[in-house]
Amino acid sequence: MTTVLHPDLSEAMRAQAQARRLEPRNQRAPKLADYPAYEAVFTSDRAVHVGGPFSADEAFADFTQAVAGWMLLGAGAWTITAHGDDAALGWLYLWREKDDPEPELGWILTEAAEGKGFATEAARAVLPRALALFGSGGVVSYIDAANAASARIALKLGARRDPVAEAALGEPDLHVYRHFADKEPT
Amino acid sequence: MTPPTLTTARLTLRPATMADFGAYAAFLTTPRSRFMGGPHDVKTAWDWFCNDTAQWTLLDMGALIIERQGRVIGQVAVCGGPIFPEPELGWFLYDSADEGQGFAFEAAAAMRDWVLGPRGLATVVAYIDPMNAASIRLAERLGGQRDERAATPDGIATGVWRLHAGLRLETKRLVLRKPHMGDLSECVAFWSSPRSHMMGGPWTAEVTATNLQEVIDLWDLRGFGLFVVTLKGSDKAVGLMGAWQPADYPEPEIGWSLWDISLEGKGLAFEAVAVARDWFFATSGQITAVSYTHPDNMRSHRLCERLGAVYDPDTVQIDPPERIYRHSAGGARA
Repeated sequence: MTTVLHPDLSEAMRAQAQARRLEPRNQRAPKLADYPAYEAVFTSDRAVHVGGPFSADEAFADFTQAVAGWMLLGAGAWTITAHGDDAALGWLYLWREKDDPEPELGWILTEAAEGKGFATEAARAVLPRALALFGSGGVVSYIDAANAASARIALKLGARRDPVAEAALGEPDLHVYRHFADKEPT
Repeated sequence: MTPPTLTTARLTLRPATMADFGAYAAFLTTPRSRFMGGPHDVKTAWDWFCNDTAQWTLLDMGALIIERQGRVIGQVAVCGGPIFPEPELGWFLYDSADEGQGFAFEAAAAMRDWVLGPRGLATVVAYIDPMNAASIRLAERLGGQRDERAATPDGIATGVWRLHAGLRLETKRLVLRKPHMGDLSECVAFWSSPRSHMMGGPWTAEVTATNLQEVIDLWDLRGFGLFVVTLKGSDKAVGLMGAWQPADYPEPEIGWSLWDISLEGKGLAFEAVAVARDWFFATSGQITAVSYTHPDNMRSHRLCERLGAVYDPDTVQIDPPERIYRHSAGGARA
């Protein structure tokens, strides 16, 4: 979830996302005050499942992509916060990245926020909107094969692995979890 | 914040969209970006493009695309954040065919005026490769001065030119700002002409440069000085006006010179001097000033009287023969 947003992200996604205001509660647009936490996550071993750890410059580039996505692509990242506290707990992404064939729902948490269900709760808030935008089965989560925690979240959200999509992707260590409007694939 | 759209005489400066990335990347991947550490790869171009855009969300500043007659010709930006030690004003034109027509200056001046004006920054820098003579000239035309002590991004060996939030006084038709060495060519055009004889001219270009530098230095020394007068919509100097006090003057003088004969007779000097005088009395704590005029300069005498100054035969002349007028705080008439 942290590589490069592809410049050719479909205009359709941009237009659709702009047409529907994606503003779940308890998640807000990232701001500069979030960056120290973002850098801490992405320069640490916490980023190992998303291609890291990264250098500070790479982390900032990733952060600005997530932020700029809203203006350039109509999609990007939200900062996850708790009720009544503005501190960043993590980030939730809805976008389509370089070489990814489909729109993605992704998440990453700070170390302190781990294990409390925050990513699941944040993803649940956005998932219905994502499925409304792209249709049932039209959104996936790309998850490192070794990332058991994220795999559990995807399953809790009702997603199912898609062996055909994984084979097409050609990256043995990257699993594709497909999200559906109903828990059962149609 | 929502990025502004700025309009200049020939250009529109507007927020970037995804459709602008192709031309941006094309520029950064060619040798034309050599003074920006290029050529770069597309990944770096994308990182920079996102950074320039994200700045608007993160820091209330960022990049604007330069358009001329519906065609994208480049970008101008003010960016800060972890990458730069302080906000930086940068500009580039994608195609060399668009160079040499003042477009970069026009765009950068509009961005400078926005960021040091409505945006409210006190200062902004430009990081320029010391070999990039064209950009250095442009930075100096913008009023930038070399700052040897400024921090550079990651300690890279780049030159730093610094611009300060100018004082800007506006009237109905004019903008008054602090002078800088970029005004020299307009100064020389006037001070080398016979029209300057009542102001102590004509001077050589060298003498004019020395005198302009003194005018600039007096601002730093005293906190007030002569303003460059420009017509709204243009940054070109058409005169120098206001209160100043050179080292050999016993008290502040309110002076003016309007350099273009076609601008005379329209009340422009009165409009400018009145606002400069009011600013001087309001901010300096001074309550009086003189105007040393040539005894034959009837136009200046009329202007002094229109401004409410009175003939003062008792004040010592510093460069006789002179006819001296005295101004008082509040612009009171005698």
